[in-house]
Amino acid sequence: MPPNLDIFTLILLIMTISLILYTLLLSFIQRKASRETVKPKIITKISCMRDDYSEERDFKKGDYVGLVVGKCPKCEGNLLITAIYLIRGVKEKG
Amino acid sequence: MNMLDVSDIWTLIIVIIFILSFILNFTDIPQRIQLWRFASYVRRKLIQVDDIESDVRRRLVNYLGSLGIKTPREIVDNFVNNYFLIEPVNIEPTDIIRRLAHLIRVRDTNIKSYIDYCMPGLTKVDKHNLIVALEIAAVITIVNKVLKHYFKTGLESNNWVLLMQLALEMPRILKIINAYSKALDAFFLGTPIGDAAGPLLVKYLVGGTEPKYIAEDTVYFDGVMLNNRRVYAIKAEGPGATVGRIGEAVEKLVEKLGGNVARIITVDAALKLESEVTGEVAEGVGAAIGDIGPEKISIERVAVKYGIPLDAVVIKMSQEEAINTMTKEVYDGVLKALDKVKNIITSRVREGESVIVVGVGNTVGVL
Ligand SMILES: [Zn+2]
Repeated sequence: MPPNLDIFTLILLIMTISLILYTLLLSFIQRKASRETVKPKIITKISCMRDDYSEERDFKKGDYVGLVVGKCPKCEGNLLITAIYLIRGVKEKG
Repeated sequence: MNMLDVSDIWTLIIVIIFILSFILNFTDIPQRIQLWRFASYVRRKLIQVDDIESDVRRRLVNYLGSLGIKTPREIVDNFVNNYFLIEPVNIEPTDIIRRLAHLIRVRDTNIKSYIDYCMPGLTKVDKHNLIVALEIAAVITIVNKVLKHYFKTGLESNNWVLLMQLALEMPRILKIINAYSKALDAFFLGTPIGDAAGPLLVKYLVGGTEPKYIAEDTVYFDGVMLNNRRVYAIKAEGPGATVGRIGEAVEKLVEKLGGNVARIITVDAALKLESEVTGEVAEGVGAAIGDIGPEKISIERVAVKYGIPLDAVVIKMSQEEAINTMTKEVYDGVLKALDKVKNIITSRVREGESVIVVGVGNTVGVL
């Protein structure tokens, strides 16, 4: 053991280093967690009244469930919006 | 090791331990240090709350601007700081529900006339969505005020327990405020939210049947046949954001049918416990409706008056999911609940009898 490094200094040194490491680790974990964002997407589902046709597209402002959006390409019945829901996208890191 | 020998070091350690234990046990110094740490933590979080509040105001002002309003900032500020409701006297419980219902309705009417006065010519849908958006801004402002009140009180009175509680609750509160802030977009866009599960289920049940007016902002559907059972359905009037007056509507409809109703089935979104999965469907007894009293008691009273069994079907979701755009999981839950409701009707209602299905919740985005 070097003459100016006794056991108490050593303990103090180890404790200080581990404290600094702990603080650094903590802030690193927090920063990593806040950087992860999720990009969700709103889907509008359109179906024919007679249930022989359906499609999905992105939500547009003004859409609501029960809105008539056109004629069915198969049977000339009304096409209705039957559902609007959000699907969670893939987690992105940015 | 030439200045101190081993026994001196032990004396030193014992003295230090003694002094430390004195500080820990007989002074407030540790609590002061904690107070300081918690206070700085809460202060940081309060800055975040402030940011959210001003962001919500800014988005709201922009939205009002896009609707062609000249003085959006004044309208928002005026709404946010007014329209409180003083709860009726409750040490005299006679007719407390009627007094509460009266006050709620007066507030409701006041808000609507305020919107009509500031922004004439809005469509009903825009008006309803805007009222909910304004209410969201008001809630966030009030929460922020209350948080700051406790923070300042805690600091002034050196109440470290108060600050500690505040610091421990802060992440949860912040999560809820964030959920409300995000919910604003759903009402700007007019997408169905998780709470719209009940109204959406009714929409699926009645299909293209024409809605008829029954109470303010509330409609009913008549004459859908399901395996020879006559199904009546009630929901708030869409696609604007409103919860309607469900209780009043049920009461009126049952009276209209002369009490000839075999069952009343209420369907609502319910808050899930942390361990439960979103979209889980559960069934029980009672009126599944989460208002502060008047609407729920109307349903219970009319059910008791005519001895009609009350069934409840709930779709589980978190608070965040309930007020934000409906997720796929909740949507799947609605389909499951629809099967359950149909099942209840065919198994517990005899052929030729009538049943009322009530879709409770905010009908935003659902006609
Ligand atoms: Zn078709």
